[in-house]
Amino acid sequence: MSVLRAGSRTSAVTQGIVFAALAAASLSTAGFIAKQLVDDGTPGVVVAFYEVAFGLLFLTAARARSLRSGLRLERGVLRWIVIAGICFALATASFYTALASIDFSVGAPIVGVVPLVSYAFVLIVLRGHERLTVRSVLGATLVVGGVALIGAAN
Amino acid sequence: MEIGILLAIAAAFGWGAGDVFVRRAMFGARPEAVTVVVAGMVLSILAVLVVVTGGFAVPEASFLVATAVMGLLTWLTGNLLYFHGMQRAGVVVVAPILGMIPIFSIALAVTLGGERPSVATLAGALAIVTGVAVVLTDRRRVLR
Repeated sequence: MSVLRAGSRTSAVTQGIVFAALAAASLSTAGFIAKQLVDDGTPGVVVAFYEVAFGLLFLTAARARSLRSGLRLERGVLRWIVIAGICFALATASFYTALASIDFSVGAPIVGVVPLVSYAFVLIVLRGHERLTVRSVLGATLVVGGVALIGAAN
Repeated sequence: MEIGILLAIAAAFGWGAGDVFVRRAMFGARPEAVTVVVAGMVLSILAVLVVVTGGFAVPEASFLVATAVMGLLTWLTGNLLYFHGMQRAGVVVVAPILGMIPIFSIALAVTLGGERPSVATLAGALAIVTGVAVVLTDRRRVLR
């Protein structure tokens, strides 16, 4: 029984890794298109606004059935979503505003430290739920270093 | 310090913290619900920012098509898949995977833009791949 449970958990983790890799490819392609639009002279916030507006439209259309049953949220859960929403909104607005005064090649490596920031918050918010190992911190540090190197090279 | 750099640091903190709060919210909510509420909040704040910084102009059709494709990629196959991945594997595993975005960007710049990456860019890409491999091969990473 425990072997079965361990197997299904490993499978879920593998699925999660594949989903995250696909998400990275998608977000990267969207960033490539965004760069073309911003280079053409459109303000970054305007590009971001239309992107999110269309995204919300597609999300609602594609997942309408799932949303109908899933939008009844407990107050405790809603609190975490609202905090997350504020964080993402401020992050998006800050980054697109920052791009008006610094190059993308300067901003991107700074944003590359996101995994390490997440790890710091994992220690506080997800204590007892997620395990932070020396290897995971070492791996995330290598990722951040790699992003910084690419940013410096460009 | 330049205001742009301070804002970029604030963005890193917002995205890094936001990921963890999303994970916490998904203990009691589906990724779809979390993604829609988060997208709605981001849209509201961006709308205010657009009005404050200059307002809306009438966009061309090609701009609308491009931003529609971006919306699909960022929110449906981007953030929604990422949140599903986070729910299954945890923040500790998936957060560094998003660090692979520059590698996909390099691949796009090479294949579509005809660019040739420098040695430093390739060294950075190697460091990212190594870092992700280190996280993914961690046998103690499985959630408690």
